[in-house]
Amino acid sequence: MRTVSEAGTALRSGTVTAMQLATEFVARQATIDERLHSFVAVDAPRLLAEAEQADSELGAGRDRGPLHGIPVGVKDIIDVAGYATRCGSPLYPTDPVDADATVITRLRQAGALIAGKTASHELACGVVTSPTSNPWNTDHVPGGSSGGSGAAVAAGLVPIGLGSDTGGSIRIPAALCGTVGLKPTYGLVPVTGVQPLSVSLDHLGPLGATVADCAYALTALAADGTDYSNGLDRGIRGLRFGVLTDPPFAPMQPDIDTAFRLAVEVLTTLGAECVDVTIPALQHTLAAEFGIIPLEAFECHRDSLRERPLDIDPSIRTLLIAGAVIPSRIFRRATAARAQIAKAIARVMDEHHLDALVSPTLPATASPKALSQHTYGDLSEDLATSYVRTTAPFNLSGQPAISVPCGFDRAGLPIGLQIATRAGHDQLALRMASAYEHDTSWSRRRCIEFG
Amino acid sequence: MSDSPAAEAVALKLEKHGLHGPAFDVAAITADYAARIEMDAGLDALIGSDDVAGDRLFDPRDPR
Repeated sequence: MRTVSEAGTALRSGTVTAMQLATEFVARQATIDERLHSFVAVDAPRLLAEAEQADSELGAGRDRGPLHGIPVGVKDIIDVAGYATRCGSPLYPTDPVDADATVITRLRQAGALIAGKTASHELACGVVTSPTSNPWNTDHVPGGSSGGSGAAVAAGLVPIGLGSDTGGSIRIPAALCGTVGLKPTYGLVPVTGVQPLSVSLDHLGPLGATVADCAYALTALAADGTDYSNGLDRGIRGLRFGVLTDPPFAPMQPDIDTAFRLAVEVLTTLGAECVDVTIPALQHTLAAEFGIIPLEAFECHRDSLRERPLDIDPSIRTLLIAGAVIPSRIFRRATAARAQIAKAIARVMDEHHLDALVSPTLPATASPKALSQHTYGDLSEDLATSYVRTTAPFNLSGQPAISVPCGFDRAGLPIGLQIATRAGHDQLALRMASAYEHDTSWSRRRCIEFG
Repeated sequence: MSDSPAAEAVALKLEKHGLHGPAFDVAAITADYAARIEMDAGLDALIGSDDVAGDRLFDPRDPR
């Protein structure tokens, strides 16, 4: 059973138990992760005990909702009592933490089972997540920094994986692994008990097998009384989308360009109005994003940088050192630029009466592990720049953005469609993605080897 | 002491934060510093060339 809905139906009809779901997960994870390395820790006895409790509650008539009895993967920067929080780094202790992060408490209240901890790129600061592999081609990266959750969901190990997103770290692995990934509105999901990277840009959210799975997860994670799965089937007739193809969304790989144009046609067929828009301020996305992250990341990791610098990957160490040495005016100017970018997005949405912006999630599909650059004609670009330039605009603005599968390239690697709505309109983003998902078959494709 | 104003500024900042040892290559850090200053200069087209007061900083919880 790959989705929350499928598992939930089976659980409530009595054709499967939470114990069977958990047992199946433990067996498949042990086999599959010899090659995928999507999980870094699984406490099987504890998971099975949680499953037994979930079955007991359902048997007694206590149904906690859609996530009851569903195994969920948790990115290893989020505290789960009884597990160490390692952040993909030797800097962090192997001792288990005592308390759950707020989001874990909320998942447990919603009946979810904690399947284990999924791999994170070191310090949640990168787009590769070594040694995790992409289920669609294990010679390729799963993306990052929530690469373990992306790979685990794509392989059908769990229907939901939690991720964090500072410059795209939920949407990047979602797009590269062919899953759905939602970066909610900034602040909607609490970050207490989560290791930060850049506090003004960090978001928590779900990667899921389907849009509905992400909606169920967000309902539990936000715990604001909203059922985010409500209205997913209302369609998008009459809604207006602004289509983004100018830089930083260009250049992009030709197969992505083709898939994106076809996706826009689908939105139009579904009754939406799609208009081309340009937001020149977005060309400053990377300068703003990388003017903010170093100083905020240095604040988070200054002791580690001073005491154990050689235990930090050189590229991440360079970023942290930049946070120590660059003038603070760079941070202030980047933050001012961020405000201008957010205003420019809002202005364009107002002027064109837009309900959402739509773009390719990424300009490139999953890179071979051996490559550190993408090339677009004459332009050569490092992976981080290439993968972040299309996602980071919505970290800067704080508005929700979702990636939903929209095709495959000629090599059989997934492509993502990004939909961004106004701040607080997370439910609308889910509804739009759901309409697209239901009219296409991309989310239902399974990778032959693992799915 | 290092031989350029940027390298001197970098060395002073490293000293201030207690960042010493083989992990801190002043020449490489200075080159990265220069690249970041150049990237910041690209923002002039969006926000002008001046510094920005703290009271104009962006609050992502209140983006409008």
